[in-house]
Amino acid sequence: MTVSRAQAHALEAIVAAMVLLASVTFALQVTAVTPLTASTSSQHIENQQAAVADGVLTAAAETGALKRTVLFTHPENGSFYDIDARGYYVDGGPPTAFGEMLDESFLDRGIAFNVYLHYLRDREVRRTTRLVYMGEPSDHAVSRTRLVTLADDDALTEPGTSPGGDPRAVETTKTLESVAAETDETYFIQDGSAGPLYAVVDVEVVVWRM
Amino acid sequence: MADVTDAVERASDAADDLPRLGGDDRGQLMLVAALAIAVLLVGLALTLNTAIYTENLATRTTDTDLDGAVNHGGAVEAGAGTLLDEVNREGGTYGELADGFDETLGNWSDGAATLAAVRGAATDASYVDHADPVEGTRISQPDAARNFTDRNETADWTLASDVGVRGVRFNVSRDSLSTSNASSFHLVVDDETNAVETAVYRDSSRVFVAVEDGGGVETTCSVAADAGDYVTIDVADGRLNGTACDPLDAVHTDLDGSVTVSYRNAAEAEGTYELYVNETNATVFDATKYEPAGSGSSPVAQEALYAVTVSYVYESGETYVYRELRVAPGEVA
Repeated sequence: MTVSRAQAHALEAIVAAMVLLASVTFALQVTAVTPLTASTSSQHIENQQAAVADGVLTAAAETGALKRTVLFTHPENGSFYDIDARGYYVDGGPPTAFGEMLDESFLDRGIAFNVYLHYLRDREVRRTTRLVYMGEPSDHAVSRTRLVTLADDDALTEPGTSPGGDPRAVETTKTLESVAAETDETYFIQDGSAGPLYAVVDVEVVVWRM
Repeated sequence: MADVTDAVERASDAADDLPRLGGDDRGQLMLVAALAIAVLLVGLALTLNTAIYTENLATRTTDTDLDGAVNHGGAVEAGAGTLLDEVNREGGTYGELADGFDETLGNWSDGAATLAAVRGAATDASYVDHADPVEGTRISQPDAARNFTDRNETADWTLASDVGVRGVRFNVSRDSLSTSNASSFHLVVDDETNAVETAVYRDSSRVFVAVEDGGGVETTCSVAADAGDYVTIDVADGRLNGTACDPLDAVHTDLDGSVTVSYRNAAEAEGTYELYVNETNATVFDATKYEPAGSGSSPVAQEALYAVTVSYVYESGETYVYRELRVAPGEVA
């Protein structure tokens, strides 16, 4: 009987030790990176958002909407149309086809986005202009970019409407070359080469769940 | 397992001789069992956690990421297309055009590479001169106040026969247009099996583009235009003033192979236009229809590159992509 009880004690001690070890392991393991650890955003959603951003940029580049939005500036001061003193759009995309695509793909689904325009000054200094800025992106933001080529003969655009009445960027007669030649007219990117190439602009879209 | 049951039974049997220990022993047993179940649950939690984590890892994309390379290819094609026509507009001999394009694309590649380097990608784009460019002709009218007739002011005339056509663009004065569809300016593109006829006319407030496809069905799109306005029509891109005009897609869907391009009622439209054909200027140029380049008169037929070959490299992480592209923006048929 005494022997039997000792055995039970031993077993109890071993099991208690295991429980102790197991709880330490569990405490460590419970902090493992699950899809929902850091936020309600998940890898799947990030992949999806990146793919949508890519799709929007590709579609906008294909129809020329992307370039028309990059050229959507006042010839007098080089700032975008319909913005306040901050110099960029804050509550959605610009009133152009590209802006509408961004709004419908992201904003309407509770996804915030920033759009940056990266370009070169003096052919080597990288500059960035904000087109849309909704705030500091979260740690779960994803970013996609697309290169846009501006030629000397590309014309600035101004606010207009589509046949359906939606806001669009409509070409004016002012080409980048003519704007650069006028002393009282300007564009926020300078002509980077002597040839017909005006500049290369990298349009970056950063999206994240609000 | 410890032999505890027998001890309990024995204790009950010898109740008179020994103190009863059954209650104590059972309590210990239950404690052990409870602890064992606790360990089991902890183990289960670990297994579950591992499974979730594995799923998380497994769904991360590990295959070669070609998105960047594909996107860069698209940007190269679009950029080279824009630059090709810019170079063509500046004019010159075929040799000068090729050199000019080579240099311009080099500038483009430098700028693009600097911007892409920030994203951790090494890129390069260059003109492939061992693949001969397709030498063609640019037919254009730079004089915005002239109608679309040929040099001798013939209103119904053929611009080029049996050719490949690309980059057909018009910038038409709204005021010059006819108000009736039937007698309006027509662009006719004919591949000898089917013909696509595009008419441009107006009413008091809008400009209409009516496209009669290969099957004879006419569809229309329109854009608002006031007096004094100019309207742009990009036939290959299917755009009227920059917005989509779906009927124009008929030039892609209904035509095949070489085509003949002609104008009808060309006196019913004024403005500028350009288009590229894939026959050399020596073949296309006809002194009864065209003026030579630099004459200051319209319309002009001059040397232009119809298509060029461009190569690009995109290198990022484990990805290395090299491709050669044929660049001929806005090809019809």
